Amino acid sequence: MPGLTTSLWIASQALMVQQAAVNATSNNIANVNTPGYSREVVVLSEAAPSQDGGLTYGNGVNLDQFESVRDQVLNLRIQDATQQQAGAQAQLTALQQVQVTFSDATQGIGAGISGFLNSLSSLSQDPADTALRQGVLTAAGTLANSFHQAAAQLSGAQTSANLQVTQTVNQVNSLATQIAQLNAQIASVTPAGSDPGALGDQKAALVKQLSGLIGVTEIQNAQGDTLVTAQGSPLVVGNESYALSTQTGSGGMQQVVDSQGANITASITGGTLGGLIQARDQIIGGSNGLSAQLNSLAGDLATAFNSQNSQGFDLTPQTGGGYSPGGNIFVPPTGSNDAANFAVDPSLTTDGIAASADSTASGNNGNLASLIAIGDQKQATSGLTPTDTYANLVYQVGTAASQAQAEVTAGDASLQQLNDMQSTESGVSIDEETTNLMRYQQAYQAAARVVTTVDSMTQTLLSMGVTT
Amino acid sequence: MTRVNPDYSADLLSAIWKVDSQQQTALLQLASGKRVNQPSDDPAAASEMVQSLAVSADTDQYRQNISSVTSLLNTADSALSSVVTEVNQAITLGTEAATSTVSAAQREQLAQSVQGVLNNVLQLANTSFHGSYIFAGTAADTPPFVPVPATATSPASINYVGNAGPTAVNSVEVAAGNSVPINIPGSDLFQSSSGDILGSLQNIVTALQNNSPTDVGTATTALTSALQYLSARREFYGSTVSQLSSTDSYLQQEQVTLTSDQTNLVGIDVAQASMNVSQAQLAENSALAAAGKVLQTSLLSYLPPT
Repeated sequence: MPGLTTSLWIASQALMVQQAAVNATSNNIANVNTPGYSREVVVLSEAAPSQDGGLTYGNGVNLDQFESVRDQVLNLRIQDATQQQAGAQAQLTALQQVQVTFSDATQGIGAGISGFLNSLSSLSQDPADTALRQGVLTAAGTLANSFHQAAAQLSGAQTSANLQVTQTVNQVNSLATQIAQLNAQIASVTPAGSDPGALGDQKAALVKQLSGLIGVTEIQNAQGDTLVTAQGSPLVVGNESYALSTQTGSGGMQQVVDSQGANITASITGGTLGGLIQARDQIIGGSNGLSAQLNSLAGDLATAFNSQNSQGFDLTPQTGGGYSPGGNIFVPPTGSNDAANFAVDPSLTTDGIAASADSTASGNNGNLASLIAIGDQKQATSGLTPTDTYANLVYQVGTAASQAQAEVTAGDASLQQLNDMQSTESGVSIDEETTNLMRYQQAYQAAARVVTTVDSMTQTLLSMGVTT
Repeated sequence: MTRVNPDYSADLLSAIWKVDSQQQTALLQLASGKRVNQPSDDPAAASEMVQSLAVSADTDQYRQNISSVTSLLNTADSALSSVVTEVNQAITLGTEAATSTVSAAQREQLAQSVQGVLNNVLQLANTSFHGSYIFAGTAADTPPFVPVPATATSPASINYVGNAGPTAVNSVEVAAGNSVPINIPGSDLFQSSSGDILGSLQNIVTALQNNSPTDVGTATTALTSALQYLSARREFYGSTVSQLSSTDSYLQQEQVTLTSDQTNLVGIDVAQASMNVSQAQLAENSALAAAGKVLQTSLLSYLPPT
């Protein structure tokens, strides 16, 4: 038969349990604005009952554990969405930088090409006029400048992305180290299978940060927690972290190397790092990238104009009579950085423009017509006219930036929705905590009341048979 | 029991930022007058704009070419007009001198007059425009007609040192795919086998100096037909100027169309842009007001103080 002592003991247990519950509530309220915090709930269960003869009676309440309410699957989806969003954002930033040069169609390369061709057209009605010849040289210089600006903008964006690759890899390594340390802490402090609590929240926040930087997959197995890149290079295995490093590759571009020495640059997808590498190596750089196309445009133009100029005759008299064939208008392309190096040939003078198609007639303009016709000819590399090649480049830049913008917007919406779902699951509700506080307070008061009552009953018991 | 997201401040903020962004876009469009301020706003339009501006620049250039070439052609035509006047005078003198009523002494004087005409025509044949000799074909850096004084064995003559043939004529592009020739070599105008103005004038002078009315008559007849030939060739200048004028009118219309197309491509109607700004402002104010109204009231506000 359960006695007063049992009741007292049950009540005192209850006091402690309600106190602990208030503790959890207090912790939740304190952390209502803490990012990544998962609300704690107390998991209570009825204590195992006792048996005495034919009677079964309860033994009060047990506090099983403090449990953080978090949805691991939702976390994984958030990591995924974070990776995509960060990758798109990195690309967008790079492309916004690149777009600037291509934004004003009244200036830039398109206008430069028109300007040069039209200066030749202007010369055609008076080929010997020095002022008009100077106009051609000036227009050539303007065209060269427009190439330089565009090349510099692309190169600047590429360099910026390249710098950030190194910085991002350092951040990745730092986070991996911290996550490994947390894994060790969690393993030592938390019994296997139980909830890691606040440490778990910290780790989830770090993994989410890491996802924003590089595409990772999280695998949980008996050995603990493993984080690997898309290609399978390990970053964290249990309480060990594996650092990535960078090596300077061709063209000064930083290559990302995993802990086993493998170059994983091309396989990194997702996260800021993935976005930076794609912008740097495929959109701007690479054999079909914007830089390559710009260089082809510059190289093909220089070659075409030089070739045609050499088929005409300029104003330089030749020994033996007549005039000499023209030389180079532009510095001949080398096949490397032709846009940045595009320049008027330094030895070109106003006399050197080969307007004439007749070596004996300095006033003939036949070769000018052929020079101007280059504007309507398909370029060797692009298969389009020079203006159309440039227009196509503008289209590509615009489309890439516009797509990146759309991905960022969609990514933002997706992330927001997932965050809302996480908040619904794990967020602290002041209303809820207030209600709980009231419940636990009442329960505490009731349990205390039990203690007082049992104490009074004990006094009554003890004073039985004592005459006053 | 279904739990509700207790924290909607993130959603509110996101909504505010979205209308903020729309407002910024609308303001930029209003300020710049353009719907497409960077390629990503409308990649196809941005690309087309590059091509359209190239056509615009070409059209401007064609009109400039027309203007310059018209000046050149008018200068040439004006010189030829003067030549016609001079030659007509020479024809009158020559006709008169071929009659038998004129004395040798008078013929001597007439020779000087016709020589005067020849000198004037020579000067006109060596007209230059902006430093180039316009009747020299394309060997335009020196005067095309050089007088050669008489020697013991040969009479005075005039040499043409310009060039002739296909490379002696320049063409200039005045519309897409449309080039016009802009000169006639002097040899074709003044010393052609179909009509040799300079030769005939020289012959009249020589015949007058030799007091040979028959030769004067022959040379004057040749001069008359040479003048007809010149006048026929001269048509080229007037008709080309006329053709260029109508081409220019067409190009002017093209410019208007192109400008309008470009505005449609990337521009925005001011009225539309203003309306966008007003709508965006309205949306922003609504979002802010809504956010302000939705206070985070909680149960705590309603409980009695403990």
